[in-house]
Amino acid sequence: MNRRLGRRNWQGFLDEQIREFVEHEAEDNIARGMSPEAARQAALRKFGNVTRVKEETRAVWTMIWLKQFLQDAVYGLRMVMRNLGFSAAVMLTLALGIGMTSAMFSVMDAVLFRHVSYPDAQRLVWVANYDTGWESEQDVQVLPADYAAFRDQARSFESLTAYYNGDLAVVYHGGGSAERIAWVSGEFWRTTGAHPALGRLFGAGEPREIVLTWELYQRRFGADPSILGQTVSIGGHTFAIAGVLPPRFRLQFPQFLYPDDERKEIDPYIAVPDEAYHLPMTAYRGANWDKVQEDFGPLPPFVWIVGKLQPNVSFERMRSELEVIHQRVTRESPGFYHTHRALRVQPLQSKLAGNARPALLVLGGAVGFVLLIVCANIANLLLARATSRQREVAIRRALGAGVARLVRQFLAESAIFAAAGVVAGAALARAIVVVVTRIGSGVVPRLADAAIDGRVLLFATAASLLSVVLFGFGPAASLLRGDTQRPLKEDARGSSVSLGRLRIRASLAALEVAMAIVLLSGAGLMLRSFWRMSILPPGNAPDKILTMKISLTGARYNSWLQQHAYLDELLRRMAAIRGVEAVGVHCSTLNTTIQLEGGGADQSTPAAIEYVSPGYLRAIGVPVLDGQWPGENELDAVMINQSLERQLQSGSVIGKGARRADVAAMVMRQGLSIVGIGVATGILGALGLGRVLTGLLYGVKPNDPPNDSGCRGLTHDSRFACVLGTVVEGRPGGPDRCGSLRVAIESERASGSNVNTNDPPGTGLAASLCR
Amino acid sequence: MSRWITADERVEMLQGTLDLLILRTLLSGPAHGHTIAKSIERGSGEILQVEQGSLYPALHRLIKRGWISVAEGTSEHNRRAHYYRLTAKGRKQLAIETTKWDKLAEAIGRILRPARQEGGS
Repeated sequence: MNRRLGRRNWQGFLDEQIREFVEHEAEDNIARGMSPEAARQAALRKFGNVTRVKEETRAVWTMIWLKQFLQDAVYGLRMVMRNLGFSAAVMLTLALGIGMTSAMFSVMDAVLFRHVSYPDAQRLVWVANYDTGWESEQDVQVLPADYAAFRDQARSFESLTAYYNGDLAVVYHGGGSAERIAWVSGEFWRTTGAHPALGRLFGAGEPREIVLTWELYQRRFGADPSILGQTVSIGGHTFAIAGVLPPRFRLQFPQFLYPDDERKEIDPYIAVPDEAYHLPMTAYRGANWDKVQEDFGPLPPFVWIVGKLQPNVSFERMRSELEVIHQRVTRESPGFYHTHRALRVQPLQSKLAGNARPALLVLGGAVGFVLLIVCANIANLLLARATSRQREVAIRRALGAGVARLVRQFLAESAIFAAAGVVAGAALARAIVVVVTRIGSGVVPRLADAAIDGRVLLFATAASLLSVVLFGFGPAASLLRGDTQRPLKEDARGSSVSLGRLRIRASLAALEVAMAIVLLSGAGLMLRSFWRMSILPPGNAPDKILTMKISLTGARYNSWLQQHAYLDELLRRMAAIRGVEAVGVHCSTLNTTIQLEGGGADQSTPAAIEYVSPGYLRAIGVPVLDGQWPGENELDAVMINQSLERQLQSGSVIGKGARRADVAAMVMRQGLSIVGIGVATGILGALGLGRVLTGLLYGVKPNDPPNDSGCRGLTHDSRFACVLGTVVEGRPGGPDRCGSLRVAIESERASGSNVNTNDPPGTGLAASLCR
Repeated sequence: MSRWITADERVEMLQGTLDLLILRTLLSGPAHGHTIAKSIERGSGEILQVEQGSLYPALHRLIKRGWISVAEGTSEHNRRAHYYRLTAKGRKQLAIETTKWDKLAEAIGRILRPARQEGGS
């Protein structure tokens, strides 16, 4: 009679088979002369591992994978619950690591990296000039004539626009407020994809019209729609309010800022009359410029250009087209240029990103280090427990558990950790971003745009999971070496931690120390930079200093003499107010190289020159270390700070040496209190980081207009000289005459030396306001 | 007997060959599980050793596929025991498997002993 076997009855059959085998074998053994008991024992030994045979037979009959998977999941869950403290530690570490790093990176990315949200932003290109002989890595503005030539001749663009920004007083119903306005021309609205919320947007040939942002419309005009068609006055000229932009519209192109300009959004937009692009070069000179402004209203002396490429035109083709046009303009009107200006074209996105790239790299590095520490922590936790579970593994193996099965169970446990950690991490990241944007979006620009960066979240998750899976296998590692006896024996002798594993854990700890040092010293450097930015020299009491900003425009202040007279009178009256100790005016900062008169060219050193009135330094509380304050009428005196003094005396041109030594010293101080291999590694890493940071601190040009990385102040303590009341009659295209200046250097050695400055073109306008 | 053969002389059974050997053993008539193992070992000159851990799962596998059937009977010692018998399906399968094995063995032989092949022709 045949027996039918199936999923239900195979087990009983197997038991019968085993019994059968043992009986048979025992009978054979008895026949060989063994005692019945010994024969039975020998037969059982010969059969081998009963559990294993059962497992493998079960595999024949059942959907073994699904069943084992469920079993493994339940087992994993049970292990997680049993060591709740340990599990919580692992999952919390994972969640913190994934959550914090993703959130921090996402927030900083939104703030530093300016993403352009205009339509077809990838087709927008930034067109600027640079001076081949003068800080050539820096963009300089384009002359209006160049823009006019591009507009009339270039065929590569779908739309082209020129713009510039400036702070001007906007007068409405007799009340004035200083607003940051943008002059726009060409197809600005088409390039930015803007549509009006109210009214209409002025066309290219419609000067004397103004478009307000939603913010300004609310703030100055009480959100009253009847203001459309009414007029405001800017620089003595009237502009009709044409329309209002929607609330979310803002200028995402780089602004031009002087180093001390505050960062704020553009509020009104006004059109540049077309005539402004056809002025002869002489129009920009001296009193001519005042006359031009009288005729046409406030005009930008320069522009920045942004164009949108035609969809089928390559970047290279556009570049060569513009190059040809630029060469022609340069050739035909040589007088337009002081020095050689070359054309620089780049995608707008990379122009904006370029400024933030070093900062982002450093930030990414820091996030990476934090993540590494998290991974090392998880690895350490799991390895520590692997040691304690080695015996359990050995016993289960001896009881017949297969290697693959054991590995799967550990994998199941790791998977539970991972899943919980990732979910909690993503939730944490989300929560942090929500909280940070809610708290800070009024203060920090673009923070409101922050959203979790998917790539970073993915990366953090992948890295954490890898460490969980890798080190989750720790207990199973000895299995792979096939060494199941040793843990049992070793345990009997009381030593269960292998030397190899100890070594791994020791190096993980060292790694963590190393990375912590790198991070700490990086953070320390940043803090110190910040601290140096914010500490004030003795005697400086910011709560007693009042500042204000004046912009003198319009027919009444068109000439330098009128402005001069106004400032003189203003300072005189302010100084006369009771309780006022000192009054001063600061006009502009000029980055240039200076050298002591009589010194060689190799002794020149870069410096930022601030144009100020005699009382200014006293007013902001800068102490004189050596020498004396210049008198009221000593208009050609120069004050220099200590580091410039050192520069000039040592003759070293590059000031990075001192900074790097600072880094090393700082790292050494922090490193000394911690011992171990990690320290040495950490110091090496920190020195590397310091080098990167040094690059960052110096990589940020204080006068780079669109620089938005907030690192500008870091160069605060480097070098600056103050030129007092120097009248420079430089105008674009005018003579850049700058007299030899007498120096009141605050040291005996250098006292009485003269300093030559090379005045770059175009800065005279601001400088001439000084007194 | 098997104890006189050292571990080094034994050859690991190739994956899947145990099924073939069981089928071949049963070709000469029904047998007990214990007898199957014995006759494979003896037939191979004690070079192959049948692990019980593999034999029983293999028997279950063959039963499940319908290549062998199982019936109850009595052993030589008058105990209850199971007999395994080749089915018609199993006989067909044995032919297929044997052909496959011959081809495989010949192919491997050609690669391992090319000189002899040339010399023989």
